[in-house]
Amino acid sequence: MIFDWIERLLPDDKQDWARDMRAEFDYIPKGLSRTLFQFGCLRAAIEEFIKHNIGLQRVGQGLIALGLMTLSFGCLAMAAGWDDQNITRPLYGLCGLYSLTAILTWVDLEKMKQFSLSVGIVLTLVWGLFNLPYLALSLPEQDYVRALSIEAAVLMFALYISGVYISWIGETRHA
Amino acid sequence: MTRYRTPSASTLKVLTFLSAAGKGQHGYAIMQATDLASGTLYPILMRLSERGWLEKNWDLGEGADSGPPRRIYTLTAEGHRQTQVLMETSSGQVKQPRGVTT
Repeated sequence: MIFDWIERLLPDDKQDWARDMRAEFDYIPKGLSRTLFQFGCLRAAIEEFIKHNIGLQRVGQGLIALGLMTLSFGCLAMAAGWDDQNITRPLYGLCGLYSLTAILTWVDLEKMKQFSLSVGIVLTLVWGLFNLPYLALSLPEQDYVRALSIEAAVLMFALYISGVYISWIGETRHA
Repeated sequence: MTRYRTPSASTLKVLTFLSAAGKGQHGYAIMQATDLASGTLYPILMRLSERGWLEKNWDLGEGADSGPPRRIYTLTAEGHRQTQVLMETSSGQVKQPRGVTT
């Protein structure tokens, strides 16, 4: 039965895989190794199905977008626990930033790369500005905003690197 | 000239084993010698086959009590050449598969 699934999962040009694996299966000794062999073949077929029908790049984009949406909801949940607007506003800002980046990741990876790099640079500058001694006197919750900005900057740079990596995977798989 | 990504350690194990074996091997024998799971081995075999490094034929067995046909995998001349090159460039990085002596 598992080999029937494997046949259905594999694209037409890879049907000989299914035939080869099924033929070898007859020679695997009974017991655990037989079960492991079947499930290993199924795993390979699922991976091939994803590569062929969805694409590794698309899967990567989906995972990053999902991660960003989770972060975004996390920011919302954190903000809900505070009354002080000096605390909640930056969190709402981050929520918006992560949501927007998630949408860009899913819709257009190139734009996400440009956006995350630009925002990462801006947030690093913000962090640098908040380190200036004279600003400490004029802005409330400066340490908090400074910490949030450098965290978000690091995340944006990480997203940029992830975007470059995912693009590279997409290119090499299609080469 | 076609350029390929550097083969993984698992791919090198398969190539090393087939090169040392000197004759065609069945999938299960390669699995046992290289300690690779079927889900890892078969994609490697197919990739090598698509590159023209590996040739696969049906082993029809001999005699009346032989089982159903199964695939037998053999390195092509190009496969042997590429394996030599890869073994030289990655000497010491790949653990020898079981049953292989050089």
